[in-house]
Amino acid sequence: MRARIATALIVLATAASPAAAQQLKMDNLNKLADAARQVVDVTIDEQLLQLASKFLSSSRSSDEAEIKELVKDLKGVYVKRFEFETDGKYSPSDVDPILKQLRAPGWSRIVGVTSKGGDNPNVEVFIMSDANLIKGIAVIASQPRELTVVNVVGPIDVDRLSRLQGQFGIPSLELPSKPR
Amino acid sequence: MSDEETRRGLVSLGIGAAFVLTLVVMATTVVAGDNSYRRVVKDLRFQYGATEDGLYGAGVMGGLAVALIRPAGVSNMAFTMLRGLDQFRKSDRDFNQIVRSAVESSWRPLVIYSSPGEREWTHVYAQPDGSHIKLLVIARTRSDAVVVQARIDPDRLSAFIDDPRILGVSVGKGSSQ
Repeated sequence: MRARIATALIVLATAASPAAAQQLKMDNLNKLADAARQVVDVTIDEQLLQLASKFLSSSRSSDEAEIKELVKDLKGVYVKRFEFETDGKYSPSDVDPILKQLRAPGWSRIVGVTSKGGDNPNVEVFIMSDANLIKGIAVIASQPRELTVVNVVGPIDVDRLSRLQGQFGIPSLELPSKPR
Repeated sequence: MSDEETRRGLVSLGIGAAFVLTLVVMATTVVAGDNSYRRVVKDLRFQYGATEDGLYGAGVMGGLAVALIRPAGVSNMAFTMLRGLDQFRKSDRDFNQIVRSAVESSWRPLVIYSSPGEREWTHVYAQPDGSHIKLLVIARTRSDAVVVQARIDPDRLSAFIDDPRILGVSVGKGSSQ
């Protein structure tokens, strides 16, 4: 009996811990709000996501059908976006606590785009994977006057992540769409 | 007027009054048991010296109409328009804090948008309610603010987007043709 209870507890613990690891703690970024010209903060958990996806209709368009399918198993979408009036209103140390979480086991950096000046952001894409299953995605897009952090929790095809741009508060991150 | 006519008149009046009362109750259930809507309105009035714009009863009539017709799956709607938010009483920076502290923790922040540069703020809070979703929206532009709370049936709203009809009358594109 004790062995069964212990097994059950281990199963529960291992099932619960990855979910917590996929969701990034981004509260440290809130302090940037005071210096920002514009702030967007989106928090959609699983229950709200499923309710919100009901607004999408498979019969309305193929795009909506695809996005509905994409969000079917998602556990949450979290976005923080700051736009500043001038350069230097945030520093790399503000992003460090996020990057520290993304260095934890399970997370891998799969894309890193560094722009030399111009209007294009530096983009880093991280995935949390377990065997062949992607369980979470994080995107950090930074420009001198803009910082965006997106965290999608739940199984998702990374190639189809670009389909979520412009949906559920996720801004356009200039991620290329997968050719169909 | 005979006694019978008087009795019928009183019965009709009673039924009418009961109907109106029912509608009022339906329209006000949106804020029953949850003070967030009222607290936001009260705090913004108090902190910024804002005044409620009655819109000539449009708020009450709109709430009644929504309770009766339930257009696009929306039910139990309430809204308040506030005018003359005085930024000298409380700074714009305080707006987010005032709203956050007035909204109860049962409401989950869905979208918080702040643009102090353009003096625009929008807070959207959500609360699942069975198969429905309750939304509390506080939007401010310069010295005006609107507070709206509604209960929405996502399935019916989605159906409405596909085929916009109110009381069987199409209100979509080309409906006037």
